[in-house]
Amino acid sequence: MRKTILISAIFSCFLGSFSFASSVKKDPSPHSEAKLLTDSSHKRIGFWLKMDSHWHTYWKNPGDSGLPVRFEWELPSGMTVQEREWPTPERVETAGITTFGYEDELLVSFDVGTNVQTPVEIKLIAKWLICEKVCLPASAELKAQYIPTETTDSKTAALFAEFEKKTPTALVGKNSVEVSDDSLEWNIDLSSLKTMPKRFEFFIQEKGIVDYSVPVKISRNKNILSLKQKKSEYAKSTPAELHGILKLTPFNSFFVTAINKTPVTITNETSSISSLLNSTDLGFITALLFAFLGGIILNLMPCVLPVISIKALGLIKHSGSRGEMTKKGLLFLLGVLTSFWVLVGALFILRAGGESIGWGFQLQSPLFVGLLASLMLAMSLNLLGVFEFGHSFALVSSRVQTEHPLVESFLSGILTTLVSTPCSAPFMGSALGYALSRPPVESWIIFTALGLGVAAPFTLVSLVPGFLRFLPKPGAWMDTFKKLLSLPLFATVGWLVWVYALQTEQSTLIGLGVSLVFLTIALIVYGRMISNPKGSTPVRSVLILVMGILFLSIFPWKPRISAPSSHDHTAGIWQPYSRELLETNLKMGKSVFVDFTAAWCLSCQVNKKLVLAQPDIEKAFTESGIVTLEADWTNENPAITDALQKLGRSGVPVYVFYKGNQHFILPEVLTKQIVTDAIERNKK
Amino acid sequence: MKCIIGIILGLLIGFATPAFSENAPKSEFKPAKDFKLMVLGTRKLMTLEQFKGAPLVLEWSNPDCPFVQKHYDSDNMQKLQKKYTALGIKWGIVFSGKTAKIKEKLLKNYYRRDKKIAKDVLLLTDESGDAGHDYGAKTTPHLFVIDAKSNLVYFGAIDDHRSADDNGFDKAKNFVAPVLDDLIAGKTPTQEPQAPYGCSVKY
Repeated sequence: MRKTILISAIFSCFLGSFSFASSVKKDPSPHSEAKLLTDSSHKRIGFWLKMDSHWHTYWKNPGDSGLPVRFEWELPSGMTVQEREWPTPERVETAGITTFGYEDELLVSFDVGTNVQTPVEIKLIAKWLICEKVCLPASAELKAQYIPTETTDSKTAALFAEFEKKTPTALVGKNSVEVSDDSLEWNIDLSSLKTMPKRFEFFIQEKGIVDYSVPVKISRNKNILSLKQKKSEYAKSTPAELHGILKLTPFNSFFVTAINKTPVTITNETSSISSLLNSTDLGFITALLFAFLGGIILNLMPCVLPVISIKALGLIKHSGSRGEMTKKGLLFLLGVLTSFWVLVGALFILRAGGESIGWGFQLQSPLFVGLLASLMLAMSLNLLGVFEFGHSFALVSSRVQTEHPLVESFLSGILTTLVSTPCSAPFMGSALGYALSRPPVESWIIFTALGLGVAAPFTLVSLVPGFLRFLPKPGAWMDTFKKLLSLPLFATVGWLVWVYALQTEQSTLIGLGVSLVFLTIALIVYGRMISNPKGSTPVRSVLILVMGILFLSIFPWKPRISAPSSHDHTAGIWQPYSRELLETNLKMGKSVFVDFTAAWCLSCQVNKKLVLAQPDIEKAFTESGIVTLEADWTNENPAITDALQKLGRSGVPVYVFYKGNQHFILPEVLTKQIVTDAIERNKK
Repeated sequence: MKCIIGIILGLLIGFATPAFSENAPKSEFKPAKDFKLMVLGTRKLMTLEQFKGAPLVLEWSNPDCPFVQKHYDSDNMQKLQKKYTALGIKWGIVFSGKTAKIKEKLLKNYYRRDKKIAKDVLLLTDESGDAGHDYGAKTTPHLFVIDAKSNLVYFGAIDDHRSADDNGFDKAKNFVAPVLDDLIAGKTPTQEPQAPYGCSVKY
């Protein structure tokens, strides 16, 4: 030690600029110098690291050894930064050990949130490893003044520009990766490239999945590049999406996002909060049971109850021959099951085609929501007695049905399924998530169980006529009851229109409103015509025809979907979800709460109204320092679908706390107590 | 009509049964590869065979590595070694490649004099790097646990605190201790391999 001091003393005499004290004190950032740079012209800041020659530091995935550079931000409240893609690293291989890193110089850029208007002081604590033959831990506390109006000096701007060139650009196309027991097989779509690369390197971004020591097997079929990598013996479950860099040259590289085609395996982090119903680790039999029970409960949902009740009333009124009732019951069952099978089939076909969709996906289509609203309106008017289809409580306006009660039973089964799907999440979130993550045959069975549950009450009544005795005798009460049942249906129409309003642009919404008015007029006139046949039939027929045509022509068949920003209804403490925002906050050591929700999800709205949007809960979130994000799934959003898949879910609502590498899922039905307890548990 | 329901139920049960067989716990371990390691400062050769009958921990190490230093400066590694060697488990600290060429005295001074490791812990050299490559040792530290029947029952990181600094280190979840506890209790270890972290082994 004395020798070192002597030597440094001699050096400091010669060099003059080094103080004696600093050469004795441990340098926090040996062989490297870090700075926090601001580029206000492009609303970004950057962590700049200059390393001594031959020393290096590591990429996000450091490879066999090393650690990535880590960032902890201290930002003024309200300010957010989003990490950009890191520059393309170099592969360093020594004696069978592969690492990915940077030599000489590194700049990692962060986008500054647009809400920063005034100069602010930002602080960054960065930690990295600096290695040559030996590795040394290094850290720096960096401060910078970010002045939004300032023009970046040319030297800094040039540095940012240089590293932007070294950063991979996203590869356009559908890429996939399949993970087997011992390998990963990437299929990368190169059709967007002008020329096919002859020489390239490929680095996977996720840590600990690939054994780097085994050479990559490469093959190409037209535009599809296939890369086979050996799976690491340490690899466990793989996420729903894997990433990598395809490096042609340091200045020409592409960022590859690939959908993991392997059935999602869920890392099981049991938490005391989640109840049995919410546990993601459901066994197959348990999932079947929950699906069946959930199906039965669905009969009570406001959107389903009227449909079922109408059927039951129909049975009481027309308790015809036993054989016919049995047929009706079974056809209803068949209608429910068929539509469940069609939905699941469609889901799997679309998924196989690379679409990111989940349960309830049909409600993400405004066209479907609009048609459903029209149908519901017609049904509620029917229940209200505005019009009737002969003697039957028909569902879709068609004469065929009155003549074929069996067809009607089948159709009402289909309708029951369609209206029940959005209500299914609160009872079966984990069962459905489990089902959709299983191989198709197993999913199919679970959904069949769900369908059996939905159809069970009505089918049982029709199969065992003895049950009819428990129902009250037909009478005048039935008419009143029917009218009462129209109320939840009207409410459903109102809700569907609200969903529609969030999904579409104003002009489309007006179109729907006007067409619904014409539909109502047409049905009122039709009702009059049936109940009072003495009036002028031709005139009324023409009127019905005109109104019907007006409805069909004004109805927005090609709804204009509103841009997400135009209905940005996240407010207050809630920020819109993005994966980057989640990851940045987690890296900063913060806990994050994400509310996965959708306008068409009724239970989501109830939870929001009664719990999450309550002032005391919002206050509890703010005081705990937990970042609150809202993931709005009203419209199709692959990023949110993927996040749900990673959680082992396929629908909303999902309420989840992320903390470090862990996450805790709350039940689908929230109470203030549940949320405050969870906040207490997850704050730092 | 009841037949139809019967068929549906039958199908459900038929499909449901094979689903039970999934998630079988994997309990087969691979036999550990043989190795030739030299006891530091001697010409004494140690092989896998000689350790048979007692569980063995091989710990790849390098005194220049800050990840290793973190575990020795905090007395974490020594405590682990002391506790388990006292319970009859063999423990070898392995130096591969260039690390094995560090002067014998410097290595001994660091581990025995400065860091006061338990007496029973062996310092082993692997100058050729063959043992390291055979075992797939990538980092320092990188640990391998071999049971009394010479099966490799755990390999990978020592804990989940993947960092060179000791910030929050006390809360780290150790992966090796539960494996050794299981072996001592005569149970089959259940800890899955965890990706190692640290400096590269200097082959």
